[in-house]
Amino acid sequence: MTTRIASLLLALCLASTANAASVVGERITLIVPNSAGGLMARYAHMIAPFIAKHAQADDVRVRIMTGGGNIRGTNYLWFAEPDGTTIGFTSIPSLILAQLSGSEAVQFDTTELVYLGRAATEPRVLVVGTESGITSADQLKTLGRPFVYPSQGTDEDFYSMVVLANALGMELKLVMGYDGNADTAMAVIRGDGDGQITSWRASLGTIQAGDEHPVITLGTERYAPFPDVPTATEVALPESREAVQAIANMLDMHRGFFGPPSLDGQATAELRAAISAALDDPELIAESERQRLPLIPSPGAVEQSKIQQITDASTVIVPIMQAALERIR
Amino acid sequence: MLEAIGAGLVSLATPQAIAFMVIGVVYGLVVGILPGLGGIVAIALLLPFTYGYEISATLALLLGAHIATIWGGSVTSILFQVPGAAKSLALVFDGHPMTQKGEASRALGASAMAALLGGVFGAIFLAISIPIVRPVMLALGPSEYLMLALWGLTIIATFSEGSLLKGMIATALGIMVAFVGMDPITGTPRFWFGIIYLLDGISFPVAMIGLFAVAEMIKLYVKGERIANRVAGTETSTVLDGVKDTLTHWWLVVRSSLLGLWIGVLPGVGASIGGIAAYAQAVQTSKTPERFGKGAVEGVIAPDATLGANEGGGLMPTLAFGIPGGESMAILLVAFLSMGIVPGPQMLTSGLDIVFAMVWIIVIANVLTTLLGLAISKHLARLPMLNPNIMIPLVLSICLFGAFATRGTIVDVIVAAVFGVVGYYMDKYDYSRANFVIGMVLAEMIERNLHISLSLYGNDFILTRPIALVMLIFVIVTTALPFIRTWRKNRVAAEAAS
Amino acid sequence: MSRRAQENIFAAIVACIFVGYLIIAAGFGPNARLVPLPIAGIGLLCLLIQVVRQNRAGGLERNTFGPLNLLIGDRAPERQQVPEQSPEHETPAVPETPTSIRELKAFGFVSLFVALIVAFGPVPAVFLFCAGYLAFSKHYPAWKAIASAGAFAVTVYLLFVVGLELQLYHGLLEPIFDRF
Repeated sequence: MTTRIASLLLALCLASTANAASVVGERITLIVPNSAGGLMARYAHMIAPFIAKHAQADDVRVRIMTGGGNIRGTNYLWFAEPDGTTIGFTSIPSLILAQLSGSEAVQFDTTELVYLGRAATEPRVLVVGTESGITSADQLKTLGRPFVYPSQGTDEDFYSMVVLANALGMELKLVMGYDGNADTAMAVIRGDGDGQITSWRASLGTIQAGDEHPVITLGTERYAPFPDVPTATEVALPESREAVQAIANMLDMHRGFFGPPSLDGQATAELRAAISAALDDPELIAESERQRLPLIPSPGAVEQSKIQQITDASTVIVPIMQAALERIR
Repeated sequence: MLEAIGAGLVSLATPQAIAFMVIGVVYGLVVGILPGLGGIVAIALLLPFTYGYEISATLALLLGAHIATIWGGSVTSILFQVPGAAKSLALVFDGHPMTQKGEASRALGASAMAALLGGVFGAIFLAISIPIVRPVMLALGPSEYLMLALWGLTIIATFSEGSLLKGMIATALGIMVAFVGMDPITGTPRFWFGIIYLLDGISFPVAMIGLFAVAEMIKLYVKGERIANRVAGTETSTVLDGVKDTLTHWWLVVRSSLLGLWIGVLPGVGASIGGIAAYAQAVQTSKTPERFGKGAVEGVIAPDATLGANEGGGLMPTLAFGIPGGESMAILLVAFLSMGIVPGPQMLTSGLDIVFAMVWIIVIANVLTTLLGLAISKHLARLPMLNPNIMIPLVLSICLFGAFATRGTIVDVIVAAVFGVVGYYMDKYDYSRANFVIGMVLAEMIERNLHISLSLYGNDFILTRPIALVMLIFVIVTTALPFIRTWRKNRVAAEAAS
Repeated sequence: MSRRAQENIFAAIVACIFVGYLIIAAGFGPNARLVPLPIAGIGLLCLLIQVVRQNRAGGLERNTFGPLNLLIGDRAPERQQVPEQSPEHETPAVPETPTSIRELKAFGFVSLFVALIVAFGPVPAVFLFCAGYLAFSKHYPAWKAIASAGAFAVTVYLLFVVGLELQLYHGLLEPIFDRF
């Protein structure tokens, strides 16, 4: 009798360890380290049921875990069980930048996180004001004076601008303290600043009005509605191409899913497949239109390869970023 | 233009638009009354439900809800000292003392009426000032915003009952608390003690909930009696008194509305400064400034009129430049874009009927909110008279829940409780809590704009920016004026006595 | 404890905050400390003058700063005419003990409520706290306290969680909730 119970238990244990790697039938917790009412949370709530559907998981629960930008939730995920039942969703570039800029609160290493797929990205652009007198990217290289950049803080745009300026060999004057996109846009239109980095969508109005003019796309490729605007990699000085490419890759990763380090192979494969399938689900696409949350998916494996390129370039990027931080402090 | 005004109104005359407007307003009132949640939450939650409806109906729902939240915030400020959002802060200063005097109905009536008139004046001024909006927006910059914030700071003298020193200490503490967290200017984590929660800073609504509402409940318990002055002076006023007050002070309403409109127009100047600036203006132009802070009805009228007008102004940068003027406008912009409305200067020419549809929505939503508000004010005014044994658990529950709701973090509940104890002692030893929160609201605006001004225009920026210089002189004069007046009065009295 | 001693203790705590703040701020870069440093400095200066003043004879009643007193004019005396604030003002000797005990009790129930929220999450905590408070204050009989607290907790739940889609925190109950 005892041996039979023991062997049954053993069999159960073996069965459970064999299944531990799969997320099928499991309850998955999706950590969103951003604010509760924000866009990131809305995306997560919208997509979660579809991941559950395609991963054949019992449920995908969104858990908002705000704190320190998005550091707290990511720290939590970093220590989570790597069995696929705890994954995260956030702005990948801000994670990478939090780490690269040497934030003391960061406990994670973005190079070791496992990337599961991108839900959406919003291409970004450097726009200049009419008052600046600048009309093209080439003019930036021969400006003969510092380019005045009004900044909303040490965010993705700030670091992108710093690396971009370095890559174009232009002198940069950082004006810190602006509050939100409206504030920087007004500064550029007023002529206090030369230009700003925003999403294409946010600048569409001012571009159409002729108040601002796009000069450089920060994406990996040119932005379709404005095919004449070159990418940062195209205009960068040859020795800085890699750094600029890394920034473009990083911005491109934007709203992405990720798992803890050494995430189980099978779980990774299942989750990547499920996320891709979810983002292609016509029902989700219809829902995203209804909620006005556009989807621009990219598979997990592709996102993973971008991280490698960013890591390779980090030896060049980090000193540039650190120098900029020193200057403003 | 007249055609566009008419077309805007006609577009709202559909059953769908009317129904959406009513739903939006009722919903907004409820969200506004709950502490910790504001107009942004209201709009964000409604957005998914607007897909596939008429443009005007969608706008009616979103804008209507947004507008109703503002008065909702005023209600809790007046009755319980809990501003729904930072912008309703100024309503606490005189609105709550009115409640304590047994004039809650009057305060609510004045508040609703002022918000209505502010909204209507704001909309009218908005329509008139469309041609000059652009040049004005371009003329005012960070240095001028800095002066505006300094002007807001001058009202701390009003609340420094008996001790300007303690008032200044309280203000300094408020400013210092605002600097906890990641510094937006230098990216330096400040005063965070290795606690990740503190990197995001202390949430303003959470601090307010603690300092005022939680502290008040502690005080209520410690006193061990019914809220003495509230029950002793049972409700002596009616809602109609408040409406009349507002109409009597029509000139104050007009001034406050104009102020609110322009504060709304300027991106980078938040609505929270609006209420405070309106209050400052009311104090400084009053012949009897010493009544403020003790239940002067003007102290309710001015900020509410400003907040009412502010919304119209907030539309301007969105429409004129395609730049959303605030978070709620950014969400509206998403709705615009998905409905095929591309904001930008052409809105002021070819899209004028949509602009006027929005102006009408503001007006109608304000009317609806006020009618609803006046109807329920009588009942709301009875709430503070509840027995403390019921009041304490209910108010504490709603407030701590609200503190949790602001960011969905449990630590915020603990912080609200801590601020409750701090608020209790500040009140006990006469360190003005109002000054503390004014410091907290204005700190960031002062720091940001000081840095930008120094960086752009150099150390002597005040001399190179004529408008800012004029504003500085104005700030100094308006601050000194009441003091000089009192000093003169005292001297005359002394001479007469001798 | 006399009012003056209480105020001095409060001032001492605030002084510690100012000094600590100054020390920390001094370690920041020039831009990061540009505003915090002078503000804390001014605050500390005001506090020191205030402490000196409140410890001089009559300083508590007219604790205005001399030159500024002139500016505020007749407001300070008015303050004296309204002694509604704290009972200790009038009779500092007798009711002091009850007040401090009541204060402790008040802090106690606020802390208890917070602890309940942390342990069980907001909605159950609201129910437990309200039921307990209503019952222990003897305002309602036990059954009525539980019934009204229950009704209130459900209302709060409907408003915040159902109506406003707030994501709840379940505290120590999290594992139990996870089962469903």
